[in-house]
Amino acid sequence: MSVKFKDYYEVLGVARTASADDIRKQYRKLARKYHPDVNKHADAESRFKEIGEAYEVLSDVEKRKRYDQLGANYHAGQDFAPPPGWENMQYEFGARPESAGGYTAEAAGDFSDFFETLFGGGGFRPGGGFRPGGGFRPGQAGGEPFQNFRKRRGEDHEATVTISLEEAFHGAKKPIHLQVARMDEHGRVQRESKQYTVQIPPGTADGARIRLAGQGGQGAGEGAAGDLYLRVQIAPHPVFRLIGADLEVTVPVAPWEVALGAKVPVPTMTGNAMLALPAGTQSGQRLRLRGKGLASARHHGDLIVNIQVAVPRHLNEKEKTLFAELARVSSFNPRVD
Amino acid sequence: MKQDDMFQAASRPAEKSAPSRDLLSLAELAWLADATPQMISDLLEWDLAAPCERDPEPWFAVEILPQVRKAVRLHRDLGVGFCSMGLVLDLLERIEELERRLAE
Repeated sequence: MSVKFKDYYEVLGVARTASADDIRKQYRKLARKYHPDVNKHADAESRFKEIGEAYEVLSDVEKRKRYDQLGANYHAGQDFAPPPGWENMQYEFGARPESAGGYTAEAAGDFSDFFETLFGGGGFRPGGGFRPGGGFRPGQAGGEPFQNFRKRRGEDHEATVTISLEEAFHGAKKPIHLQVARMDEHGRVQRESKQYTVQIPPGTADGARIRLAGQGGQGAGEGAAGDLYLRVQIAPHPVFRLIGADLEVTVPVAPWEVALGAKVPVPTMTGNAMLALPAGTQSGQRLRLRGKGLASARHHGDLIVNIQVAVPRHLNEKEKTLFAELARVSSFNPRVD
Repeated sequence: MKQDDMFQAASRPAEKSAPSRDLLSLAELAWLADATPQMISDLLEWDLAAPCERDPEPWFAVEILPQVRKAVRLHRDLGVGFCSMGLVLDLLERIEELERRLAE
């Protein structure tokens, strides 16, 4: 099948000497005119795509330079074959300035045969030529307007996944089910469960986002699918309270342990640790066990031990006697001291 | 492949209860319209996508999906702002109506 030459300048209705600004303005004008949601003519969509392809080439300095090297002697619709030596020309289609954070393109498959003959995809690829991710799509997902209609990355989506504190602390490989909605042929919403296996890194914090590449919205044309982000929600824990990367635990202690000082066992996520209580520790005082909270490359949390002095509800005779003796000899007055 | 098949999923944790009717959560509407949740929130803010229930989260009738998709395309492809989107959609609807009458 022969490839027909496309006059991209003619498609956009600009002179070969047109500036980048003129090309952008003209593209926007034509995009508004031929957008399939605005223009209901039968050929509007194909015209819109043709305009997008022309803009793809003429708005990119390297592609335009390469296209211009064909010269002005070709006419639209004329049979086209690449000039001898074309495939040996070295070109690097680097990322356009505005493409930072933008789209990646796997191949140029959705463009015309002419485009692919020139810039790779279905035909030959120029040496060192089209690089995936290099210079195809400006803009960010859902951000910049006038994105290329033919090669738009799918949107990123977000869902919430609830995990236990143990899973967040130690990390886990967790199967999760998301309820997925899709439209059936009658336009009704059908929901079905979709399973993903998610790798939870150790030390995952509440609110962290886990990326499932390519599981978001479908791209348009050859545009890559968006990503699915799972926002982590850590379920309340019966023992520990999570405060950022720190964990907090309340430890009841006996009056004599805080009065005299003692070593008491404290629960941590990796088993009990011995905490040295200084003599005179107060009820409600918070002591810090460094490095016993959530730990990851980004943060290193501590375990905060909230001391709560507990008093025996029932005393035996000996205890009563000893407390009475203490009350008698002690000069301590908590309402004054 | 039909277009609807392309919009395959909505992100909602399975443990949440499903609505009683064919209603879409904001996340589901975003997914099916290939928009970000923020775009749907913007449409909501500008009264361009009205929920039919709130519990208190908004739930949307599936019938508004084509209009939402159109608004998202106009925003993304042509840079139509949300503040003027209502006017654009109304004018497009009027043009379609007038063209339909002319064709009769």
